[in-house]
Amino acid sequence: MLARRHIAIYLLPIVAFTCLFLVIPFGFAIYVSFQSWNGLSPMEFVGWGNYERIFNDPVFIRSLINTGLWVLAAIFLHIPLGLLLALILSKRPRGWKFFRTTFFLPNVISSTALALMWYFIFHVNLGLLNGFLSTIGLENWQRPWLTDLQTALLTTQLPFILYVGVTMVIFLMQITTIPNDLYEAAEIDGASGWQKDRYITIPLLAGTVAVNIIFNVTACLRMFEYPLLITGGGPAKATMNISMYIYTEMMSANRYGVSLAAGVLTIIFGVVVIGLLLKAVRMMMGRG
Amino acid sequence: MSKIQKVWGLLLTASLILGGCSTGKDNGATGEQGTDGSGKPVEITIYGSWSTEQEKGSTLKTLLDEYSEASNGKVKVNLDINSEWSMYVEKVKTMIAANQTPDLFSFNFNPNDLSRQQSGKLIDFLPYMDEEWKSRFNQAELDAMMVDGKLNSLPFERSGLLFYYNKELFAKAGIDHFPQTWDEFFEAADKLEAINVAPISLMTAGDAWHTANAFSYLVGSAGGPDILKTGQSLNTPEMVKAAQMLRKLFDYTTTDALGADYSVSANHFLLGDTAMIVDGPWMSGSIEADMQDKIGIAGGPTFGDGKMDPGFIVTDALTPWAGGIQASKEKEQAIVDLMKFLTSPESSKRLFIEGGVSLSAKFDLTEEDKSKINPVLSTFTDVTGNASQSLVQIARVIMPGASAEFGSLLEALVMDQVTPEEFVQRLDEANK
Repeated sequence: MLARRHIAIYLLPIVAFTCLFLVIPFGFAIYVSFQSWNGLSPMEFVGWGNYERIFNDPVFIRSLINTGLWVLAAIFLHIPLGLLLALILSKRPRGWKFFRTTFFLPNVISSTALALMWYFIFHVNLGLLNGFLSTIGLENWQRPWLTDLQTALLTTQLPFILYVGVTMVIFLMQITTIPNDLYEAAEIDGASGWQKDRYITIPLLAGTVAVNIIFNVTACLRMFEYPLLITGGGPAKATMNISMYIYTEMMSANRYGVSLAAGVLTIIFGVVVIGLLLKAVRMMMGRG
Repeated sequence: MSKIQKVWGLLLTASLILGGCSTGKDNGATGEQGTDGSGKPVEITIYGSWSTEQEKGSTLKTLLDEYSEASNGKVKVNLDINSEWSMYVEKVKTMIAANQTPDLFSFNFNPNDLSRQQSGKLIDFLPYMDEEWKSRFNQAELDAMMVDGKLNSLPFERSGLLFYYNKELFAKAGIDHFPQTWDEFFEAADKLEAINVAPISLMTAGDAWHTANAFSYLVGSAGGPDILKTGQSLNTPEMVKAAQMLRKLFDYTTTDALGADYSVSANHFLLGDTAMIVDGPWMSGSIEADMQDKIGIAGGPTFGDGKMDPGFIVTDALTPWAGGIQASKEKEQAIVDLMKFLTSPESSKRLFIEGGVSLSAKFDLTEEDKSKINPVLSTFTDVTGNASQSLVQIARVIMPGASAEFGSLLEALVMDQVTPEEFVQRLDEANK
């Protein structure tokens, strides 16, 4: 009885904060999603009107697709890259500590600063990339990277794909917990470095892959700074994602109801995506 | 206000604080820093958009510092600046919604968006409006500010948005006068391109300011001064014609116009990369002294069909100032006194001469005053005064939803994703 009371006391602050800053706001978000409201005038009940509007809005559909592309970039590019670096660094090649620090460094720099840096890399006139292409005689390859429909989305995703520091460190930490005996036994059996990674390290990292997927997918669902600061969601809203859609509907168009309806849908979308991914990982690990 | 909205406001306030989005200062909406016996000065925080790096911002700052100093410690005026206008507008709305209305702030008056004035959170200046104060303003402008019998905002800034053109580049291209018609305009543009000069600065990011100004000239030329009157459809043949010309205009701008923001567009003109730009009087303050005599100012070309007089102008909306309701009467009075100071003939004159701000409040200029004015600003004022017709810039009269769509629709138009007809149709739909 006493233990239960203790547990209740320990839980009380977090439950209170969760209710105050998550459950109640979410309840209000649902409430406002059924209203027409510009933030200042009285609300007006519109039923499912905001949701209908969203599903008929090509910008929302584009934002949803782009968010899906972010998730795919996380799963198929960012995480494998982090894993690859972790596998290399775990073998402690010469200067591995330097490289570990270097790869992690962008994660402690403000994403605003990084986004602006990439903006100036890709800028059509001032950009380093076009300047470099010109220097090496590849003027034909120059293009307005930020406003070309073929490249704009990639320019917003590239910093996220390349800055794999946290993902890499999580993998590295897990690799250090793998008993050395396994590798020694494999060596006796004549396994190559690749075979040790393929048959020992990677299978034992499955749980960490799941953790990294959850971390990175949730980061992608919330991604805001890079598209906002690198392309502003343009050209013609081609790089908008759900976070930007929520923001512009509320802050620029003053359609709070529509914005929060999109917010509610994002939460549902996020829960479904994470649920499916976890199920897939569990199946891959043979527990599904 | 309903209970639901109060609670929502509270939550929004909490999220602003937690999200680190607050100004970091007491906005004073509760009047907690009043002189209610504590001996502390009344602190007024102006949430402004004029960067102190520019003349108008630095002049305002100087005036406010002088005002604080002259009050002998009774009033302290702080200036909190967000110089990115579209972000500024959004933040003000959020602050009002979150019951954190700034002590003083500015906004663009839009007859289609009276949400701020009708929020019930702004000071009514009417009870304070004595005859002397009233006489400083144009009565029609004061009347325009009246909403539901209250004077929730005071007319402050008003200005034309005119063509700045580089006379030196014009001469180099063999152009001897500013184009009077759009046909002449595009002929001149071809000549400028022939000497490798981009004819006009345009942009699409944010509120697409310079492009919206140019588009407003095209809209006025095509449809006359009443084309943007409240309640009218935007989906008209005249608007389509203007959109067609706007698309054509993008063939005569810089390669980075798509996605460019204000600073990129403005810098192109200020550095002589482009020959024209459409902007307000504040740009005169950014023109280097050695370049001032090379800059000409003009009103808009027409289609030569009599719908607009040659040299007509597009004007910015009135930019009134408003203040958040205060719990403390002392603080409210201090805000009113500050506004009386800022709209005094002396302050207005200084803001005009030193800051290049075109103001609503009346003031007289002596010959000596006139000699101190930046020559570009002086020409700007003359051209504005001589214009026989005007219309308000399009983004200032359409609904916020349409205004928010403008930049992205523009990008779609420039990339030929939408036709001029679709551009106008979608702008009209967003305006409903």
